[in-house]
This record gives sequence, structure tokens and C-alpha cells, in this order.
Amino acid sequence: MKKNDMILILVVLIVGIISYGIVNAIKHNDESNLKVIIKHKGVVVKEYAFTHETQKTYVLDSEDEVNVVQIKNGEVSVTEANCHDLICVKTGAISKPGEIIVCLPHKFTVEIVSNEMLNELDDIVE
Amino acid sequence: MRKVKGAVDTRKLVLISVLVAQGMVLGYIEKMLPIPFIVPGAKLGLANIITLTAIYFLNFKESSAVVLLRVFLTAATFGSLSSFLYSLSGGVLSLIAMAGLLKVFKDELSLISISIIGSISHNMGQLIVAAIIIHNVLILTYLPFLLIIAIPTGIFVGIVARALIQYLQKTNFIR
Repeated sequence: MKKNDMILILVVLIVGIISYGIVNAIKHNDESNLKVIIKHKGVVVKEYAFTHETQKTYVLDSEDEVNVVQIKNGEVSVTEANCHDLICVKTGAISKPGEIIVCLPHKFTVEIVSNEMLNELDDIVE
Repeated sequence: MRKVKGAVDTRKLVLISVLVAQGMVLGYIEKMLPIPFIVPGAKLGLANIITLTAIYFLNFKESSAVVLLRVFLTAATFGSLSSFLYSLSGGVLSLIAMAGLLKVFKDELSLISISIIGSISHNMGQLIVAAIIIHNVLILTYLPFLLIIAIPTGIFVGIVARALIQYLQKTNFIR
């Protein structure tokens, strides 16, 4: 390995850490008025208001694609799925606005958003 | 050797075909490996070994052929539409990034650096397509993780590609 390789690795590492910091800073602001939005193939299939007391289980079952979403104790997680990589299950629980669980094989996402973020996202899409 | 105008160089044709076949097999092997990452879009990127080797020995047009043929044939044999879009965007983006770097910084950067950049662009391409397919920009918040994951996978791919290139040079197959 040359010296330039080390520099490049260091730069990538620093950029990665800084951008992680930025992403995290955006995530943590507004903690009220949260919503859990469940989407399948880009379409919202379910929305729940999300507070610490919310207790819900949502089961997606369409064309042999199964994902089970559990909301309890202020956390959201995908507890079961039949996709091939199971990244959605391995992601674990999310609890903050801006966090997302993704199941790429099923085009399935579970996200926590605040109202504020929802408006911003609409602006980006438009 | 006498060159006929417009004739196909058989050595090159063989090299391109073998690289395409190797790329397809590596992609298939990668699919069977258990996925150690918990970040969507992250991949080991074994096919990048082939892309890097192609760029090293062939010109841009020919290495594009290697990448595109691999992507199309993989999709036709064991792919779906979305997996085709993922590998197309990842493959083309890493091809362009690595070919550009190799051309401009051939003396300054080793294959390891080039393959790290290749891994980053490969992952980014896949994540951007994923964001479009699932209609969700929030997935881009995984980009920082992909940057960091690209370091070990890029080093691994770079080392393997270097070994393959050195071996091919020794066999005297490529002149």
C-alpha cells in the first residue's frame, strides 16, 4: 500500500464520519407529532401515530411477500420477514424521526417521521 | 502479425468473454454468500474484481462491453427487473469512476485506492436506484455507512484484482 492509499482511506473515513454526524443532527430535532409510515412498492399502506404508548402489529402479506412490523415500548421493528437477505429484521428497532427500516427485495419500508420532516420531504419531491 | 482492417482481435475477444463469464459466476457466488451487512445496498462487490481487471487491460469501450454484457446476461439468466437496475447502476457508475481514476492517477494511486472508489460508487449507484424504486429519499441516510463499509470491501477487491492482473501478465496472454 502506498502513502496515497492511506491518505485516501483516511479521507473516506473522515467524510463518512462527518456525514454520519450531519445525518444524525438532522434526525434528532423534533420529537413530537411522530408518525410511523409503512410503504410497499412506493405506496403508503399504513400510517400510525407514534408515541411511547403505541402498541400495534402490522402484517404485510401480498404475493408471498411477508413482513411483520411491531410497534411497542416506543420502538418500531420488523420482527419477521421472508425476504432473502433479512436486512429489515437485522436492522433492529428504530425509535427516532428520520430513521428507516428497509426491505429492498420486497420494496418495503417502515419509517418514523415528524410533521416537520414530512413537509420538508414534500418540498424535495416537488 | 498482419492486421486486417476491421478484423476482431481474437485474444481480446477471448479475454472479454472470459471476464464476462467470471463476472457472472462471481455475482452468483456473491448471491449465495450470507450477507454480513445490516445496511441496505452494501455489497462485497466481487464483480468489481472483473471490472477493475477489464479496465486495466482493455480500453474504455471494451471494458464497458465487459460490464454491460455481464449485467445483461446476469439479468437474463437469474435476475429480476429490480436486481437488473441495481447492478446496472452500480456497475456503470463504478466502471466510470474507476476508469477515470486509472487514467488520470495511474502513477499516484494503487489499485487498492481505485477499487475503494469503485466500491463507493457501486454502493451509491445501488442506493440511489433503491431510493427511486421504493420512492423513499430517507434511505439515503445510509450513505455514511456505505462509505465506511466500502473501505474494507474495496481493499479486499483491490488485493484480489492485483493478484489476478499480475497472474495474467505472467501468462503472457495479454500483449
